[in-house]
Amino acid sequence: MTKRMENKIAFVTGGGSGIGAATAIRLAEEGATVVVCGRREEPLKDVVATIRENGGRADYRVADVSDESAFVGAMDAVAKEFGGLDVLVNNAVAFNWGALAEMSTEDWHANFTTTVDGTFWGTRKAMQLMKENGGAIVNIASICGVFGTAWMSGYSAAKAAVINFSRAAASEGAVDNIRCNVVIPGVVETPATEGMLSHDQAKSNTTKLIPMKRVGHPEELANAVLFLASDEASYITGATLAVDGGRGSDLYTAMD
Amino acid sequence: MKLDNKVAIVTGAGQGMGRAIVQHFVDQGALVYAVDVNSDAVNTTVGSLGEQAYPVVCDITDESAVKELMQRIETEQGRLDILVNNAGIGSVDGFLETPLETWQRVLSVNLTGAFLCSRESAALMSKAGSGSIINLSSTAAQTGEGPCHYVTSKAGIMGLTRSTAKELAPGGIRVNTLVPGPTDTPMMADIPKEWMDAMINAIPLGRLCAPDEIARAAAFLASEEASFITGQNITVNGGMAFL
Repeated sequence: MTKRMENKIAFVTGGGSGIGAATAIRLAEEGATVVVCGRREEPLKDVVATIRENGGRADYRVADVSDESAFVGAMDAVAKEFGGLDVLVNNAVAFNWGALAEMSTEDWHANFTTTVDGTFWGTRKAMQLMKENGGAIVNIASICGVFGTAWMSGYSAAKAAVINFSRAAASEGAVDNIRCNVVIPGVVETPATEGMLSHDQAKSNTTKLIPMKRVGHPEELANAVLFLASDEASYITGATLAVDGGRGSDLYTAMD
Repeated sequence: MKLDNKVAIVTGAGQGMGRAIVQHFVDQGALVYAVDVNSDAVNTTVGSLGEQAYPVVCDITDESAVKELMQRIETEQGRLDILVNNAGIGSVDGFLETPLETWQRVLSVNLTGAFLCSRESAALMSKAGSGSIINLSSTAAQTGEGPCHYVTSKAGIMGLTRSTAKELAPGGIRVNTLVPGPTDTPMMADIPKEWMDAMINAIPLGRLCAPDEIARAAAFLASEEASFITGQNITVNGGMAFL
């Protein structure tokens, strides 16, 4: 059977761990040539090694998505070296916690550089690179971008921006057959949530609010990204796909 | 393959999206009970699919007929993994001229039929502690473009999805809605050309949806790949409306 991403070139930001790493591995399993991008070299190397051990094709670029020229330069170089770009996954994230009343302007802005500016820089470059042959952009938002989350005001605002930016990009890209969609993760077991989920009480409070009564696994997010990136989703653009165990469909949950 | 060894029901299997879903599910390894009120139509659907698809003539608005279908599946397969509530009807009626009979008939097939199939399927699925229900809504439920009975029924589907998703999640049953944009099916054949042209103009991808594109999205939601996805409305509409 033909693999679902045969002959596709994919670029995944924040590809060294969590959802990004799982996505890179999954796309490569389905035949894509995957380039993972991130700030730290070691985790990227590990992901590439895992993919190659499984017989897949992968490479990595060390670049900080909050650094426009480094990030966009890496995308350009990859497109040149591999002969184009078919899939971009804007997954890199940076955020800080804190009470709104005490938040500095600097901290507020720090929530936007990687998440919003980075998504814009990546999407803009992808729309240039994909103009001839079309392509698929998948932006990773968060359930915090749909519902406001206490102590994460900057992150909530930034992820909401990603969702609506993606809709505008979908509308503009459609004429060139560039699809742009959003995956909205709920609570997922990743290095980013490890701290919170390692406390039994915090974990049980969290899962209690999820209709499926468990947190998500990075592989479950990766499958959603794969679907939207693949030709199976050829008529899907401007869509949001929540992968959250039903959390977002739940207005309230009776506490026991 | 995505749906190897899965047992599925697809309603409205005699044409359009339902036919495409049956074909794609069989391609992906599922065993499909293809349900329709029209026996010729459903026989045509399963015609070349061999032993992987059974034609079933059943009126989904008939409670006892739906129960009978579930009993048959339980006896023959011992379980049910997937239900696709695709059966739907509609007609072009101005609001002021809509006959009560038409209103009731559309709600009965599009909404009550989905309710009955969901309830009876969920009972069977919950014995195994897993299952996936996929409901078909319509972009018309978002935009209001369309006859009142059809739009109302398709908006109701979204409520049915949210309510059942939440209630059935602890039992391992996922429920999601596909929200197709205008799709190239026989149901669209009666739509006046001016409406059609206006519709296509409003679609950023600049074309109608192919039934197979709905089928592939349904297969994704039905598969293990969507294991953490429930309660969602997923648009397949070429970018024409956001949800």
